[in-house]
Amino acid sequence: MKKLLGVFLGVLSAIGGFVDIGDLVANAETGARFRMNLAWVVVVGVVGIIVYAEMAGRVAAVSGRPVFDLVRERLGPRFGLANLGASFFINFLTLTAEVAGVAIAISLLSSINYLFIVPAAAVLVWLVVWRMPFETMERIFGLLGLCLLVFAVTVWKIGPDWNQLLSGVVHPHVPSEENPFTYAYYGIALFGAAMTPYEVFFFSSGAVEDKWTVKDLGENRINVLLGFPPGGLLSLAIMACAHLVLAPANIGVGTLDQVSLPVALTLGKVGLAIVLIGIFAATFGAALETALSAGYVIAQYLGWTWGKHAAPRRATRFHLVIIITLAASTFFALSGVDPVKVTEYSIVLSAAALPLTYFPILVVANDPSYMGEHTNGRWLNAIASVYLVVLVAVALATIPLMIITKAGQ
Amino acid sequence: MPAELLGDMHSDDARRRSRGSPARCRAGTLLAAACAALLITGCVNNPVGSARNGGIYAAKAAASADAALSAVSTVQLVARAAGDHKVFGTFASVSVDQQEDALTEITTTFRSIQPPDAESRALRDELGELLDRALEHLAAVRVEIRRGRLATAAEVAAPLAGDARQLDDFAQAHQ
Repeated sequence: MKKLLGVFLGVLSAIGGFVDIGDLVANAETGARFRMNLAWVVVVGVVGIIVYAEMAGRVAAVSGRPVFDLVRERLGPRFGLANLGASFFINFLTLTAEVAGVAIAISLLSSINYLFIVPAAAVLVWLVVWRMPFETMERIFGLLGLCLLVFAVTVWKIGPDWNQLLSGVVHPHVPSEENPFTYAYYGIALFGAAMTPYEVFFFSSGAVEDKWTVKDLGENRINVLLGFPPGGLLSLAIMACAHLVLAPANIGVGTLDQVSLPVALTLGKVGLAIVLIGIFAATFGAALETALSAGYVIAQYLGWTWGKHAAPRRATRFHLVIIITLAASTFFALSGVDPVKVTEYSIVLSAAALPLTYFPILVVANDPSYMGEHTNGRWLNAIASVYLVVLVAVALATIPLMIITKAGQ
Repeated sequence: MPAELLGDMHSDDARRRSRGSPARCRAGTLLAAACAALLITGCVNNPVGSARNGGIYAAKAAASADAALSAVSTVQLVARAAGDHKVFGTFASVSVDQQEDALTEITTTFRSIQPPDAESRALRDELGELLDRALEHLAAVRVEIRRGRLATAAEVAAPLAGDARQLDDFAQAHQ
């Protein structure tokens, strides 16, 4: 019974923890601008993250080592360093955006300028990373993130013409007022938001922190297969809210308050309070994950003691990296950069670096010397290989599209 | 040759190899600098640059009108929600503040573009007037909300409907 409850809570946490500031911004922006014509990208992205997160979790459970550790060992220090550089930089941008997101959520409830809240938010993130047990941390913010289901309630309450809503999903097209390059650019942003690299680093390191073994492979599969698709539906609900409320009013999303406006207009103050708690939980949870991921990738690459399961005095360098990264992110956020723009850049650059993260996972998951009898099956390899081709195509197209569209203008 | 020296030479070789050739290093540094520049220029508020001809100026004016329309429409919705008691005062205040900042920035940026010809000058005056008026109406909503008079915010925001319509017409006409 206890095990069943653990699995149930794990699935709920996976749903609630699926959305972060990247998903909030990307889905609302595309919904307001392209209506539901880019919803198919969310579906493709969710299937991709399911395939690769399951693989990363399995690698960690079978080998007892996280992905980044094995990347360096299996593919050499040079490839590992390139991967480390790109991942750490994107992770840093994401952390900046998440910390700013936490501050903005509090600012919308308190009316204090978010820049005053940023340092306090960063300290709070550090305190939780330092003091709170891993599983508690995952569960609290994952479960609180379920508040974002209020977006789905909003769509249902608006009562749209479901056929019309679904026709955008099933028969996507480039809206007449947009050009195909901008459409492709925002498609890539959505794809990058769904497959953000830190998610797999955190997922596989978390599996090691939770001391997963081969016995936990079933739980890994259940978490991914039952947790991520509803998380994807949540992303689509955010997109649908923007499509139904913001697009008809000619509103382009540039701030987080605009993302929550459809909920307030439909459900009133209670809905608004719930969505703001959800945004706080989603961004705070993701800030914890990205802060920890910064420590994970560097410590795992350099072979230091790492993780929350190790006492801080034994993993000093791991904790030091987290503190320095958090401090640098705080200063970057305080420099006055637009948090939404930082989010956009982090997800688009994520897309450019996706093969660096996912190719090594595929290689290690097929290596019997690490995986024994738990290597990928033929079908999984076929799907993962198709995705790898897509990831490479997306990575190659990202920077040219960024230049052609002037970052989606 | 002593073995330790051989070992040193080998490790020197390895180090040289791992560092790569100077040309490669330079290319790597240039690439990193280009990426950093791209990021920095993308994340800060960009001036929209000069307009070489009337067509480009009109397109920039239409884009500015579109962005302004988004800010104005957001405030209209927030004011409506405030009037219907659907948002907290803090939320309404921060939201309207942010849109006012956005509109101010759009206005400043648009005015910084040099119109290349007489037709463009007329466009500048037309849109400039629209933006100023919208900014004035938006400031009135902000004051009303800051004073805690949420119930009457929608009434004060009524003139924004006209601003939104005119901005939309302008954007449509010059796209």
